[in-house]
Amino acid sequence: MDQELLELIDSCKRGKSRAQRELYRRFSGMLFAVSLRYTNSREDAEDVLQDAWVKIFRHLNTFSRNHSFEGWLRRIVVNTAITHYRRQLKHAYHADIDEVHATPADLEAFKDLDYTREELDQAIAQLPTGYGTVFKLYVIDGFRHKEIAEMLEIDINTSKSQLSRARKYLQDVLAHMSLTALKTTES
Amino acid sequence: MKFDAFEQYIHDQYQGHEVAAPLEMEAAVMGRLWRIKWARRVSGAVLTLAVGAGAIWGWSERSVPSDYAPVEVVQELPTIEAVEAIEEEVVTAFAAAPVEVPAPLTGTEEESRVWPRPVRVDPLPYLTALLPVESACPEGHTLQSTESADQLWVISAEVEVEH
Repeated sequence: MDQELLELIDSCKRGKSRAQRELYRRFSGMLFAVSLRYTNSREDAEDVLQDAWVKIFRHLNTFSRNHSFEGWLRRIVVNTAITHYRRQLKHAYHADIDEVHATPADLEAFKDLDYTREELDQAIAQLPTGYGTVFKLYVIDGFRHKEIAEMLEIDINTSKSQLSRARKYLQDVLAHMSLTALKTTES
Repeated sequence: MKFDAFEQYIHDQYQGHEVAAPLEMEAAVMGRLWRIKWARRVSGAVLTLAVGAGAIWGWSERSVPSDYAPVEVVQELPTIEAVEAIEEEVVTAFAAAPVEVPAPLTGTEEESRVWPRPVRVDPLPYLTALLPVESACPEGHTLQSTESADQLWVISAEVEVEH
């Protein structure tokens, strides 16, 4: 972590308004993208981000310098979003130990991946809520299964199985999208 | 963390992804922080006052320890005989005490004495309202006003002279 960021964090801890504004401007874009990923609408994402920022400033004293500050911020936003939709998410999860592994053929099919982020957004949005959340937490935001299990209050095995299913589901969705695009081009 | 090629591809796609937050959100967040800060200050002040008031109350209620150990005191009531003896003693002493009678004033002394002038209260309005002066003085006593501020009672008297 760079010295400038550490000094900025220290100023924020002392309640300096100017430092708080600077920290907000530095990370709000990244955190709004995270918030949008875990909510169903832009309005919800704005509410979640606002609550998350208040939590960030109020609990800045608990941040340990040994950890990634960006990861800490990201986690607060995700936790806030999950709290926002906990009921909805709880219904979406169920213990499912049977993992679905991608076959070598599946992986071969995605050897030459070429999707835009918008296409990926569309495909991920089609995942069931439970699958989608675990997939985004693990693959996009880089949380471990143990952390995901804590955040979502589910079993680690459930997190793993949800990820496997999500991966397979997403590959199907992307394959279908590619096929549709190919047909449109040919016609 | 081990990503397969598919997961790694998606992870990379989202690296550094940012979406501009609405402009008004910054003011909203800062406003909420400001309100929280002031709410904390006010509640802190209230708490300090409450603790201070409690301390003062506790101090005033605290009992002051004595330097001396408490001693049990038993007070016996006097008997009737003892009381009667004391009473007799007091009465005897009172009877035996010399009585000082002041010497009568001579005529000169009496005239030279200055008596304080009484506060003038005009009783006439009250008396005349209740009874006529004549009936209030059945034996011939009359109340007359003089030129001075004092009233003068004139009492009739019969003087018998023995020859």
